[in-house]
Amino acid sequence: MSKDIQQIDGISTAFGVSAVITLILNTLLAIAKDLYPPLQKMMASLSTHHWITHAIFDIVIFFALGYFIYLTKSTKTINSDQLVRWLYSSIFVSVSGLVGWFFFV
Amino acid sequence: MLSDFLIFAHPAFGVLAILATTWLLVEAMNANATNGFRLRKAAWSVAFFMVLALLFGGQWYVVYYPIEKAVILKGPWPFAHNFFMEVKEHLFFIPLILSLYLPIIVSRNKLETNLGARKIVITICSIIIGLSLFIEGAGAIINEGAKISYKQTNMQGEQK
Repeated sequence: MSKDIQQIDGISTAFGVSAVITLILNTLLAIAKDLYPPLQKMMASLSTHHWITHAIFDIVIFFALGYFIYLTKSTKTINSDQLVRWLYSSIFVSVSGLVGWFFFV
Repeated sequence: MLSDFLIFAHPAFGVLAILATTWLLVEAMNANATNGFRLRKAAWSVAFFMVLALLFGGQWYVVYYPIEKAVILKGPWPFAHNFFMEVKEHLFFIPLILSLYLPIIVSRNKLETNLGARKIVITICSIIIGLSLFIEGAGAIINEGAKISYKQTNMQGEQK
């Protein structure tokens, strides 16, 4: 293991992985509700606006998934370099997904 | 009146979040035994300002934006809504989630000795700054889209 690859603590790793997954789910949900209006209506009916439900969904998923991943202790083998790569990949997928979807559709 | 307050408070807190992220980036790049408290304070500031940007922007978007949206769509810049607002309203959640993660990683790791944690914080700060600047720019385009449409409507009204 090279010197600059260091293990970060379990909670930070778990919530880092959770952030990676949440960002992709955020993009998928944005595309899904644009593609399927009944989903948007259903989300609007859960709060006063579909965007509010979307915001609550993202925040709840981030914290709930982070806590769940931490409990499963499944991130013990993940190092910081992997997490950085996953973060960049997830940003690339989610940003290009949103920009591409709303530009071409 | 409340609409005017919200429309200025939302990007103002966005800018404060960008400034706090830049502060955190600099502290993380120079992490040492003496700046642990400042690192934590900067990380919490990013999350705090980003949540305020969400609350003020969200309130304006849900309550006041539908009227402006209709105006933009009738004007010469419909892409201000169809592209920029659609992307902005969902892209915002990326810096939001990352800003909520910052206090966790900064509070639980010693950045002066843990190069891995430092690398993650620097990565996240860079992403937040880049995306937030795009979001601020998108906000300006949406505002311009509405302004141009209002001007056009006024000119048509005067001609009649």
